[in-house]
Amino acid sequence: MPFDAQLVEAIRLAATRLAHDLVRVHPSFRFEERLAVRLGEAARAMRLRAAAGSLGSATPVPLRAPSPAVAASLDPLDAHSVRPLLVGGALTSAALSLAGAAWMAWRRSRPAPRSPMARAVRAAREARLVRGLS
Amino acid sequence: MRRSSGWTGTGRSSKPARRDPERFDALYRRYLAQVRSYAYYELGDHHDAEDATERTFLAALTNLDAFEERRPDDGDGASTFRVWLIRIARNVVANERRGRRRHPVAPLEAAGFAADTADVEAEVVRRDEMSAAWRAIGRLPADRRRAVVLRFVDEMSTPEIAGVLGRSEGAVRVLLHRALRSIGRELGDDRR
Repeated sequence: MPFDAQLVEAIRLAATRLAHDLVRVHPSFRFEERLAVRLGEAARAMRLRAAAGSLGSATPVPLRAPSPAVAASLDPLDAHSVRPLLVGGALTSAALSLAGAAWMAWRRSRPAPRSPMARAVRAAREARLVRGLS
Repeated sequence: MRRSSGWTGTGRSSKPARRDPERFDALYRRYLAQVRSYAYYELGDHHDAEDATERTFLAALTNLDAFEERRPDDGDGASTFRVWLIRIARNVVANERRGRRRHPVAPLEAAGFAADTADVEAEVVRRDEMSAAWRAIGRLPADRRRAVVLRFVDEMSTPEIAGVLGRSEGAVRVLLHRALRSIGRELGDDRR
């Protein structure tokens, strides 16, 4: 047999031997299930983090400061109009439901009463609501 | 029957499983033995192989967004999910080995192959042959051994091996050819 043919034959035999003798080493069932549970927990944690917005990005809300003349004329108690309200994304506390967020947005959009009496009435009503909840 | 860990996707999502952590379980079940085998043949120790397997899948899960599927004709070589996963395993194994500085020696007994008690003589012969094959690949240089394991244990194609090793397909063919030549020589010597 010529040298090249011998070499080819030896390589072919080696390949056949390796295909037969190098077996795949399967893990134990116990290991497989333990790791599956661990990966499941990791996947759930990733989903929660994504839902909490840690994988998202914050969008700055540009706010224009009022001119000094306008600022001087503003009632200091009526500061609601310049505070941004961030809903969704970064806030995922269980306490903040969509309905709660909608209520806060509606509440914030309402102009505060100008008269001291109206403000006092509103404060008293809110205090009653808080007492009723606690 | 396999138990479900309760986090396999239901198929309602249109998101491909390869990018969806919730549907990773199917991929995990499919490739576990391959990753585990690769780690075992590289590290030669069951516990180390299990550690490496665990780290590989956790790294794959947390980096799912980084996976990009490429076909061989896309220019940069094949990058299937399996190739991507074994590449992670390769890095994990390299870190593991760096930590302990031990050459991989895979004792056959440690592999835990079940003996076929029905034919003891045939089993002894089979074990001898397997030991010889283990010894032969154990003596190969690391890159050739890796190529052989990927070809004959994980049954990867040449483009896939090229993707894992970061080599050209031609270079992989040369690695395999040289590896088989020296193994053939060694197994032939064993027989004499």
